[in-house]
Amino acid sequence: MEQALGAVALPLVAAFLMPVLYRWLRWRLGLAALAVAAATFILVILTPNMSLVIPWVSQLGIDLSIHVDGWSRLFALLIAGIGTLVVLYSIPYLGSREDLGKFYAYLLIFMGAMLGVVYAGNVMLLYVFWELTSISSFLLIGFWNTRDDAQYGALKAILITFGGGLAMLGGLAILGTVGGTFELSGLLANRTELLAQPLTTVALVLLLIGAFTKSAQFPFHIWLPDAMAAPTPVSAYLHSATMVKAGLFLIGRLWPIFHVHPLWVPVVATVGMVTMVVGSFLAIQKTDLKAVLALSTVSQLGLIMWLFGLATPEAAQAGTFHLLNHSTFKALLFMVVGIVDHQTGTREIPLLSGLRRAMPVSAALAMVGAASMAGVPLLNGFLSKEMFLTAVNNSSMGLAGAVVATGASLFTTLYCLMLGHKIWFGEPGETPDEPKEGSRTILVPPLILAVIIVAVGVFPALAESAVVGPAVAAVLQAPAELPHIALWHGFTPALLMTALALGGGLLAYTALPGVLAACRRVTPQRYHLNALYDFLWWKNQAVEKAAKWITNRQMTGYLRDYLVYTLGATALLFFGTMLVKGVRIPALNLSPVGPWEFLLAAIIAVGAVFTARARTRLAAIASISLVGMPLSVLFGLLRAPDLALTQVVVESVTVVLFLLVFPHLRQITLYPRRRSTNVNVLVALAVGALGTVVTLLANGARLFPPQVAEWFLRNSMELGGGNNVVNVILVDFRGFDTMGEITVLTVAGLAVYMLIRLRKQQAGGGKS
Amino acid sequence: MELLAALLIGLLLGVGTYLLLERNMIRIVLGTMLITYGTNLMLLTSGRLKTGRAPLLGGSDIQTAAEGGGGIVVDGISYVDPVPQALILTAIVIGLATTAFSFVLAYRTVQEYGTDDLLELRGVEHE
Amino acid sequence: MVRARIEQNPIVRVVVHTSLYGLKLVAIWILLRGHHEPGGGFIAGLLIAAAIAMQGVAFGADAAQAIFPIPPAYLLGSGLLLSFSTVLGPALMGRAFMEHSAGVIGLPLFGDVVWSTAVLFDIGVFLVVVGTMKTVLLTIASDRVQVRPAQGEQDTSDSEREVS
Repeated sequence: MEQALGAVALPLVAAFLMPVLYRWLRWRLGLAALAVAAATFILVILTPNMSLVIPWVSQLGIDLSIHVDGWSRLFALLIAGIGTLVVLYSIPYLGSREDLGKFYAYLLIFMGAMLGVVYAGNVMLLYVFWELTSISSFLLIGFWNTRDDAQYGALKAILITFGGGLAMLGGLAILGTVGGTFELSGLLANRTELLAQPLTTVALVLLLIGAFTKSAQFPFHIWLPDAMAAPTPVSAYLHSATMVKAGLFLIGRLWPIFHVHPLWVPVVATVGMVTMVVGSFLAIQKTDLKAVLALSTVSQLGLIMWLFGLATPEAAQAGTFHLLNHSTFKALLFMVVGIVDHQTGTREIPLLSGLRRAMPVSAALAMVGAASMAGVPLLNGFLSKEMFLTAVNNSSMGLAGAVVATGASLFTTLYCLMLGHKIWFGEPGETPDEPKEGSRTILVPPLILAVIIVAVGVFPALAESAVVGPAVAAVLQAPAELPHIALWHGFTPALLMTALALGGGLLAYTALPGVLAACRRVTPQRYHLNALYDFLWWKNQAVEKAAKWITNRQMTGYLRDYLVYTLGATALLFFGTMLVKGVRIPALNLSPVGPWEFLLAAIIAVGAVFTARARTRLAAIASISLVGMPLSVLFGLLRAPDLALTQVVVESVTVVLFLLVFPHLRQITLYPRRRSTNVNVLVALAVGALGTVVTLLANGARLFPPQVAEWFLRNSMELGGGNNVVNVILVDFRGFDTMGEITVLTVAGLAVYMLIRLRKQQAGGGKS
Repeated sequence: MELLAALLIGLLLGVGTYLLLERNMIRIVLGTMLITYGTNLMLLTSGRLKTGRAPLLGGSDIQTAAEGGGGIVVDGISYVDPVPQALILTAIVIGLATTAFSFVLAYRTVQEYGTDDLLELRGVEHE
Repeated sequence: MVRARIEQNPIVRVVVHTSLYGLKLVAIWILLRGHHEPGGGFIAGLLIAAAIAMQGVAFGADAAQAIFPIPPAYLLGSGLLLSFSTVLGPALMGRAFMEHSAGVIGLPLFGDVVWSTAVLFDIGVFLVVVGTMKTVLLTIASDRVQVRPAQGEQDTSDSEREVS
């Protein structure tokens, strides 16, 4: 268990040291990061299958629980393994010009967060790490933060993935509430009861939105091509091999619970299929190598999503295997494209040709990667591609699915040829920099990946028993009889489909310009998803403008508007509730009214009206005293001698206060009101009515329980040593409140002092 | 008496609110003062009025003759509820301090910005 | 000046001076009896504040300063300290937080008097109220009155005058 915790904690802790270490290590910082990544990789290898719960917010059912099984192990190996290679690759790639401290800090935060996602045993913990990966992705896409495309891509990525993450949080909350636990194991245990609940469908839809946004599925795929503004090591790591697979990880985690749900196959399989077709169709039209790779990633992610959507054990096995293979060949291709970009100064396909002469090793590596992606035998891509075609062919989608799969694979072959053939063969073209082979260090990581691709392709049994088998078992959560992955299955329909895809692709490649022109004709140029995004968040900023408009309508900065909202809403809610609930004012328990009280109330009422009508400061004092003084007498009549005394003194002090402040104030100017006088009157009337009604309701309901008062009265002498119960409450029973109150008084006094004196000192300082 | 008090409370709160919605700063301060009065009276009324003696034990000479009923009976004597009174006592004093503060704030604002019109004192638009 | 006329008015002088002593005495009396009869720290403090206000209106801020001739900051500080110590004291002595002690003591002249540490707390409240109100009243009274400029116009320093 130490290994699992260590694997998550080590990169996260090391990340915070990176900026500090950068001051001493300079360009050698990459070596330190490499050491951390390698150590994490070793910890991941040593991590056994386990479950562990460390209490955190147990009251809410959120704990730091770790759950490691075959499924998380597959991902952890990819994260730490490819992470190590990417760090190694980044050392020569970035050189010493960039802010390495920042770069490696973000990269290691991502590594730790992603390991947290796959090791989390509690869905809320998973969510926390999930969003942390989105944040680190945002920071890494925007690494060259002065560039426009980096800003655009980073913002787009975080808006879309956070939006999906929010939906996912809702889904997880519903799932946890319905299932009674946030623990994965607990949810798995009562999956049958879960599926019986109607709310589970809502949870499923929300969770799928989260998974689709993260894994760049149609129609949320638009963020991934723009994420290519990140440095190439980041694209190879986050945006092809690991982070975009987090959605698939979630799908695999949900598979055992939901794959029998009626929505699962139609939604997940369809979205995967559409994504695969759209991705590969758009990929061939791009001229930027990284854009081609990004869209091919979209397409391949769609392929894997499709497989998991088919809900058969066979398809899950194929999906798991292809997930592993895709990480290897796509990371390899990104690294090679990075080398090409680095050495020639461009990534534009039309500018690049005949590079194999100058860069023979890179060319060989690229061909291995592209061939694997296309599904050429003896490479790992062939195996999983064939399993994919078999699974689709055997599924409920039958022939139609097989045709679509073959068609999409044909496009795949086409862009693989562009990556593996077009830029390397032919006559050398003019490039910004004279092409030459990359250094040895930069070639080592892709070389290792190429070796893995071939090894898995030739000896699939090894990969199956070590990684894929346990992962599939964890996804299925049940033993299943699955055929072993083998190089040769005999003449199957899948083999025919592979041959068709490869042959058709080759054929189309010979007529590439015509094919591309035909494709461009059917691709919408004006109305597409990116245009919608740009309208909402970027070019037109429609969302921002709308938000601004609403805010400026609400937050006017004018006290009256805020008061009208709050007081009006309070009154509406209050009277509305009364009306709906049919509340009536209870029978009143009235005490007799004496003539004096009548008189005093009349004087107070007159005083209040005069105050509202006062046009001079002097009239204002006189009329407000006309309210306060009779009120103090009224207090006395109502058996509150302390209040009466206090109010009298307060009134006299207030008058003096008024007199002191007067010279500083203007006369009461009556500013013309803005159109809304009626609203003001209405709100004032409503608040007044509210006061009257609440008072009458309280009369029937007893706001202050008599037991409390009785206790105070009985114990005042004995415990407080005083006959004046009000005073004893103030200084003894509720003395703590009084303590707070005198503190407030002190602060008010000091505030007045500050308001006046501070300015005087400033003015004095200015003069001298 | 409670009915009369309730109407009075409604008047004080209503007029206070009306003043609070004005543009002139002095009128706003006056409004808060009226609302303070109204609220204090409301607290007192919610504990019921004149149900017994003032809450002074041991036969003080200030108390009035017991009338009405339904108060809190201790040792055979009915008292009015002391809890709201304790609450109001603090409220009155705090009210004085806040009134003083509001006045000073008002006149300092006039000095600094040259106006006591809240509409004119609005901040800039939100970005 | 109005102020000068008020100050020279013998009736005002006599009334204010004599009533001031009365006010102070009454304040102390109200403070100490507050535990048993209407009164207490708040009212007593406000009475002193009223005295200060009265003096200030009649004779100006300097005279008002002399009413309770302790700087407001000391009043506030000592008041808070006194109240807080009666609150914390019991806690430090191993009793419940804020538990007051009370008892009866026989004094030679007054006979049996009920005493309580709550009275100390009340004295703290009294000091804070006096301190606050004194701060407020005196700072406002000593503030320069600026002749209010018309809107948008800059106020000039020679249009200022002392109120007191």
